[in-house]
Amino acid sequence: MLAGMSAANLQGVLASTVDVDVWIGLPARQYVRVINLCRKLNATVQSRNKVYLSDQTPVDFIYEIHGLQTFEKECARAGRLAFHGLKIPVLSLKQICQSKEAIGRDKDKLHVLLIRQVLKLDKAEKKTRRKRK
Amino acid sequence: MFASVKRKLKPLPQRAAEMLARLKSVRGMTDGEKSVHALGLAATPEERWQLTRNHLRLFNCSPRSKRKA
Repeated sequence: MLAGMSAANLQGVLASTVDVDVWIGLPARQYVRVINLCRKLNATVQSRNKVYLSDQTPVDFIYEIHGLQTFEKECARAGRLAFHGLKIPVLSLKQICQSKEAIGRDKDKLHVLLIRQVLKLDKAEKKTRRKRK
Repeated sequence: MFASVKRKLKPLPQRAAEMLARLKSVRGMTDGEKSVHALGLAATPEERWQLTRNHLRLFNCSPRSKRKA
């Protein structure tokens, strides 16, 4: 499942992020399964949690996210977005906000502000559209 | 069959301008902030991805730019 600011990007938050965060629904001790799959895709493995895809995209694998429930529960709450011809599970902006608030790094505080702004504007825009109908 | 009747999207700048017009009444944000968010909200996921990648390329930290050893 796509997580972090890449997931926020796909939902309309235009904030820069270099890494693509992918939340894996496996125990962290099974990282080898993910790494082997990456090797099959010709990715360069930097560590058990980080690979570079063949187009040099850095991908971080996360096995646990602070501030959220288990992968299964959050995946059920997550949205599905059409991307590159696939329907991919993506953490919702509210879930991303929740996890970033739990971590609380300086960069997370900025991201939380941006995500909240987008949530507020999205809500207002939907309200305006409903009124017009 | 359904693929052929897909609604054709207006160009992104036009959609962003329409989105911004709908956000005009929102308080607590500057027009500059609203303008950036309007672009993000008006874009499709593919376009959003491309916008972010283009932005990274400006700072030469695009995934496609050469990694330092």
